[in-house]
Amino acid sequence: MRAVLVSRYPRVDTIAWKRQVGGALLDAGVDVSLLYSRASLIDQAWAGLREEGWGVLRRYLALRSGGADGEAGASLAYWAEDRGLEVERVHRLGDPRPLCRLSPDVVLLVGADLVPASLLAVPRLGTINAHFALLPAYRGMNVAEWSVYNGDPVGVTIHLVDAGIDTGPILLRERIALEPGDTFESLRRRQRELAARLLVRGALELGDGLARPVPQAADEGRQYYRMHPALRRVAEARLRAQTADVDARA
Amino acid sequence: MRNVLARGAASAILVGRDGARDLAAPVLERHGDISPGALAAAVRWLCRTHDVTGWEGSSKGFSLLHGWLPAYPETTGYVLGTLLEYGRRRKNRADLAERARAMGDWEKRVQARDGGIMEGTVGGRERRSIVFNTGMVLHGWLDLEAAGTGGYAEAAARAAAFLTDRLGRDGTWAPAVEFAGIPHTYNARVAWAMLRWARLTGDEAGEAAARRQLNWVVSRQRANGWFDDCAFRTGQTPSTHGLAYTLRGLLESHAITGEESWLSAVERTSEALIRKLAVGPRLVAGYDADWRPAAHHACLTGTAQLGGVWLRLYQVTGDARWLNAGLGAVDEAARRQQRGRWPAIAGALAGSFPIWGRYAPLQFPNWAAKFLADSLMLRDDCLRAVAA
Repeated sequence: MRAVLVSRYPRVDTIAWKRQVGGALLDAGVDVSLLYSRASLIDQAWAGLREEGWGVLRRYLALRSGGADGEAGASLAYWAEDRGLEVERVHRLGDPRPLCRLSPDVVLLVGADLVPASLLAVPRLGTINAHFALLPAYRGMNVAEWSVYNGDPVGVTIHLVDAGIDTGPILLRERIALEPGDTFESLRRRQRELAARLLVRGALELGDGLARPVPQAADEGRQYYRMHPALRRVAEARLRAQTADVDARA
Repeated sequence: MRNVLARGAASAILVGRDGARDLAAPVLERHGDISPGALAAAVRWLCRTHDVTGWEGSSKGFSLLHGWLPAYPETTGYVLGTLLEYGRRRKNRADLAERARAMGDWEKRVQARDGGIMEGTVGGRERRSIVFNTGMVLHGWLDLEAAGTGGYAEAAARAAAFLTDRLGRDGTWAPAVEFAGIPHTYNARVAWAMLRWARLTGDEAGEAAARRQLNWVVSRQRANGWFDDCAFRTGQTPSTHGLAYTLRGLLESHAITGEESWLSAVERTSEALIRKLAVGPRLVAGYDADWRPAAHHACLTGTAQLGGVWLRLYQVTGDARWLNAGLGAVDEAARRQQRGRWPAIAGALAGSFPIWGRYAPLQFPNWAAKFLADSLMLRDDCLRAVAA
C-alpha cells in the first residue's frame, strides 16, 4: 500500500505525533511519501497570528527549542527526507497534480490545512483524518474543551474526509479517560498519541479491506467554533472538577 | 464655529484611527475581557441623548457633520426600556426611571390621532404613522407599565389597535403604513410587542394578528436561513441590524408562546451567521442570499444586537454554542465603543466600523448604544449563570 502524509509547516502544532504516524506506517511495511505545504513566511506569520494571536511567537519559539514535549525542531519534511522518502513541496494545497504524482492509495492528514475537494478524489481508498473529539457530536474547533464544558467524554475519532467539515464516515473512535491533575495540555498530549495509533490502524484496515466506515447523518452533530476566553476559563474549572472526581474515586 | 471645528478635528482623528484598526484588526484584536465601565458609559451617553433634547425624546444621535440630531420617536420607544432595566439593576438610580417616564410621556404627546407613531424625527413636517415605529413605542409603554409606572395603558391600547386593525390576512401590513411602502420581516419585533400587549390584556384579535405576521416572517426564510423582505428598501441587501430585529422578534415571540417553528427559524439563520462570526475577521453589515459578504464595513448596531440575540438564544435553549457566539459578537461591538473624554461621544457606538462605512456614516446613533447596553446586561446575566 502507498500512503501519503499531508502536512504543513508547523505554526502551532507539534511534530512528534506526525513522526510517530510516519514511523509506524514504515514499520508496517507501507510505502510512505509526504505532501508538504509551506506557504511564504508572511503567509505563515499572518495565519499564525490570526489563529493564536501573539501567543504564536511563544509557541513557535518553544517548538524551535525542542518544545514542552521534548521534540526536536526539525520539520516533518526533513524527517521524511532523512529517511529517503519522496517529498512534494507546495505553497498551498489546491493543485491535485503533486498528489497525483505520489499516486496514493490512502492519504493521511497530519496537521494539514483544509483539503480542497479536488484532492479528495485522488487517493484510491480515501483520505483519513484524526479529529480530537468523539464524532458525530463534536465537530469543528476546540472540541476537547467543548466536550469537557458540556460534561461529555473526550476522545479521538478517525474518519474519512468528505467535502464537509468533520462530516465524513467514521472509521475508529476511542475515548480517553481523565486522569488526576489533567489539564487541556495533558489531555491533548494523550489525544495526539492515541490519534497517531488510530490513524495508522485506520490506514492499514483500509488497505486490507477490513474497514467498516459508518456514515454520519448531517443533523447528528453540532459545529463548534473557537471557544471564547470566558468560556475557556469555565471549561478549565470544569476539567479541574472532573479530574478531582477521578482523584477522589481513585 | 468652535463646534464645527471640534467635529472636524474629531472626524479626522476617528477616520485615521479606524483606518489603522481596520488594517490591524485581523491579527491584533482578540476576544477577551470588556472594560468594566463599558455598560455605565453607554448608559451615561444615552442619558446625554435625552439631556440635549431638553428631556423630551432621545436624540437620534450625534453626527460628526451635523452635531446632535433631533429627538427620534422610534428609538426613544426602546431606549427607555434600556434605562429602566439598567436602573432596576442599580437600585440607587431612580433618576433613570424618571427619565424613562419623561420619554414615555413625550411619546404620548407625539402619538398620532390614528394611534400610530410617526416616521422620522420630530421637528419637521407632520408625518404619517408607520407600524415599526408604533411597535417600538408600544414596547416602551409596556416596559413602563411593567415597571409599575402607570398611565400608558390607553396610549398602548390605541397603538395596539393601530397595528392589529391594519394587518392584512396574509400577515403583512398595507404599504401606506410600512417604511418605504414594502413589507418587512423585521416587523417580527412589532409582532413581539403585540404579543406582549395581547398577553397583558387578553386581546385575542391582537394575538391572532401577531401570529399571522410571525408566520408570514417565517415563510420568507430560505432553506439556508436567509430572509427575503428583510432589507429596508427594495433592492438592498438586508443588514445585520434588520436581521437581528427579525430574529429577536421571532425568539421573544417563541419565549412568550412556545411556538417551535419560530425558534427553529432563529436557529437556522443563526447557524449561518455564527459561522461568519467565527471565520471573521468580523461580521460585516450585510450578506447576500448565499451568505457571501456584501460589505466591507460592520454595522455595529447589528453586531451588538446579534450578540444579544445569541445570548437570549442561549438562555432559552441552554446551548453553549450560542453563548459563545453571543460573547464574541458583544466583544466585537464593545471594543468599538468610544472612550476618551469628549462628552458628545464618550460611551457611544458608531453606526459603522470603520466609521465611514455606509451604515450611518460618521454618526453615533442612539440605538447603537442602546443595543450595546442591552447586550452587555445580558452578557452579565449569562456569565453569572455559567459561573454559578
